[in-house]
Amino acid sequence: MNRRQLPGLLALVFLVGCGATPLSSRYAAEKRLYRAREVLERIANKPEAASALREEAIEDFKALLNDFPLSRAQGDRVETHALGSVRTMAAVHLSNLYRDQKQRKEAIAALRSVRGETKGDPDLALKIHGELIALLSRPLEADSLVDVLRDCAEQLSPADADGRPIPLVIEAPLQVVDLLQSVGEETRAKFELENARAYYEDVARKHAGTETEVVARIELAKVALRQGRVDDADQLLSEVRGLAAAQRYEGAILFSQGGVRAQKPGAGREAIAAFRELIRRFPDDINAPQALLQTGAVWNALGQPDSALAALAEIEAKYPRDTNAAANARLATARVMAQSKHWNDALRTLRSLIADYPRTPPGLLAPLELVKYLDQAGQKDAVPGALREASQTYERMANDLGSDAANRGLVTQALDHLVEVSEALEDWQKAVNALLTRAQNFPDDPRSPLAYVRAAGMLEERLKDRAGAIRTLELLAGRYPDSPLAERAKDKIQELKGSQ
Amino acid sequence: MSQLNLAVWALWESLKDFHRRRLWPPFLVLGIAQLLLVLALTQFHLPLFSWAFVPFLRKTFGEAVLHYPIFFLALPDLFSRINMFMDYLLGCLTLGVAALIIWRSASHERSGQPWSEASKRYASLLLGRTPAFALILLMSYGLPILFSAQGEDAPGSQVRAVRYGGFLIGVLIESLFVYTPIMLLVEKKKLFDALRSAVRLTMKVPVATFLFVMLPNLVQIPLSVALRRADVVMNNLSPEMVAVMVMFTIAAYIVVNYFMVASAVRVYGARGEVKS
Repeated sequence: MNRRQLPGLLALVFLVGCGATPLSSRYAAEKRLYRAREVLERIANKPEAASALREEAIEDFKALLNDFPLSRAQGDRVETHALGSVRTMAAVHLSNLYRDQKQRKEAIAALRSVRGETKGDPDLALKIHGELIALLSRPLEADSLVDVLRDCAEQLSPADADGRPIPLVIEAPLQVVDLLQSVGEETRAKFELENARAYYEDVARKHAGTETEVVARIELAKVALRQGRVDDADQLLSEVRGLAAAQRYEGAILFSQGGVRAQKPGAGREAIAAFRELIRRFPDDINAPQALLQTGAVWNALGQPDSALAALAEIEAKYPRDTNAAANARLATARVMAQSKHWNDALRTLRSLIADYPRTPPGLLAPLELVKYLDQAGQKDAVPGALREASQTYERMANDLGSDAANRGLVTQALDHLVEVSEALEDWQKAVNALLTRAQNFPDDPRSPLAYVRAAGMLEERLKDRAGAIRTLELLAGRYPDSPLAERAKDKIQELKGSQ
Repeated sequence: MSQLNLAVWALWESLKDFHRRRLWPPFLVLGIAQLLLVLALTQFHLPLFSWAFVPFLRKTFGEAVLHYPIFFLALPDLFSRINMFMDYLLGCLTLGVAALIIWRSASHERSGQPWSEASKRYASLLLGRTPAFALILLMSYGLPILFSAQGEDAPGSQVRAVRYGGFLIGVLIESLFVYTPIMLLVEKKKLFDALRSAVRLTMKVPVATFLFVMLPNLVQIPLSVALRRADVVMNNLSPEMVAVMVMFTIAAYIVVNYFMVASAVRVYGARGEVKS
């Protein structure tokens, strides 16, 4: 080699040295991900520039996914996982950005684009399936969600490396059943229930001696209960308690067993015994307050309201910080009192519930219950005043809590109750306003399309405002073009226009 | 007091020669080599460097450091570890050349061929630097072990005492052997004679030597504080800013080295006038 060849050789070494390897590709992908996430941070810090920045971030994540396919890891196991993590995170961010822009189809497509390649990687597959399930649940896309849940159960291991169950996977078969039942597909639900039974028996057998077996057998008991085999469910739960790996789940098993026995004719006291054992042995168990609440319900069903009231009183004494449990206990107490026709006590309890726990679901229900009890107690003169007071409470609550995602459940409940109260007061304009607020502030809520339909109905029939009804139905058709309600809305619009 | 005056005088004279461009090449050679090292480290993922850096990074800092941007959190520590060896292998030569150039410039001698002269005595320069290198290496590994023996809950005052104590011990070690290259290249002594003479000269003017070594090195304190907060820099600016900070540190060390060597040459030249 002479001197003239040396620069060329050095350049060649340099070029080869700067070539792409699995490590350099993954590192470059991580760098791109970091830069794109910086744009996300800027979106959070600069809401005024969010729109343009969102487009920039979308382009960045899309480019990352295009420029760094998994093939760039060249089969290297460690780098494939690392690059897969980067791609999964990019897909999740991209999906979130699309979701924020109400581009639901694109959001789902972003997740689906990496779903296939995560099959060999349990961590990434779990992440992607979890995101897909969350996305398809709100608003509900039942068929797609059923597919993803089935995929979860069929393709992913129900246990981690330590033999612990993975909730997302192991709960999937029963979630499919719940989902099908919620959309009224009872026949398919029954079929899936049988599939779930076979799945859990298989999991219990394959993971014998581990916590996964315990959870699979608890799920089997749930299947038995849904199939109406209450005795089998009770028997299964008793057997599970005997398993060596069941220690960590004993509280949950006792709670389930109490629930099963509560449904078994003549087994009320056995149910109470299971709940009591849970409360005594595992007072800090997440289900303990609920077990006390159930104890009260079972005593009441057994015709022993005093014991029921004593059990319910224990909740506030033992779990003063659990506001939801305390609020539920007060509502249940008022109901037991009302059943015993102790109207004044029931009304007093409801008023204390409204005052002490206004921002809880039972606290929101209480003003309506109060109206009902006043009516049942024969205090009919007090009903209009109570209705007006309830209306003010719900209006205030909806305004105070706004459309913040954290308070979503409470606000939609308050608006639903406001509609109900306004109907009772025949204040149709207020009812329409509440329905439209609900539909506009929570567009992805599954009941929002129906809110438009109800508002349009009131506008047409009660307020004789056909133009308003047409505008409302047009909003529905525009916002939910794929919904079956949209077709009916279009027909109704034609009908209303024809009769104008 | 006379030693204090001597140190201040040496530093002042060094400052007066600061603008002389011909004094700078050896310092710049070391600085450029260090800058190239930082650049190479930041490209550790390329096949050109990965064969050398990746096993070392994995073994020293764990798997996580091979990921972006975590690598940049480890960069200051990584650089200081590798630079310790670069300082030893290359620094012994460049600082020897620097001492020779500054001596000849100060004594108005003909400049000669300092690079060639120093290269011929590279082995002696390397061995002459070995005691200081070994002691600094021992300290840099020993102190953290001593510190970790106190547990992770060691009080802040103890952490600071170890940190600043380490700085002072480092200055002390540097002071003991700072005259060795001068003895080797200017007086052309043999290795052991040079080491003995260097230590003897330090003992003759201990305060002056300690001061002119310590004062320029004080810049280490704010720089190392800044580098310890690499996470803040990374989160608030960008990961690459950590590399820029390391480069800035290199620039500062070029100046520190200049003052140390130039002052050592001055004190060596004036040693006959020193009264201990």
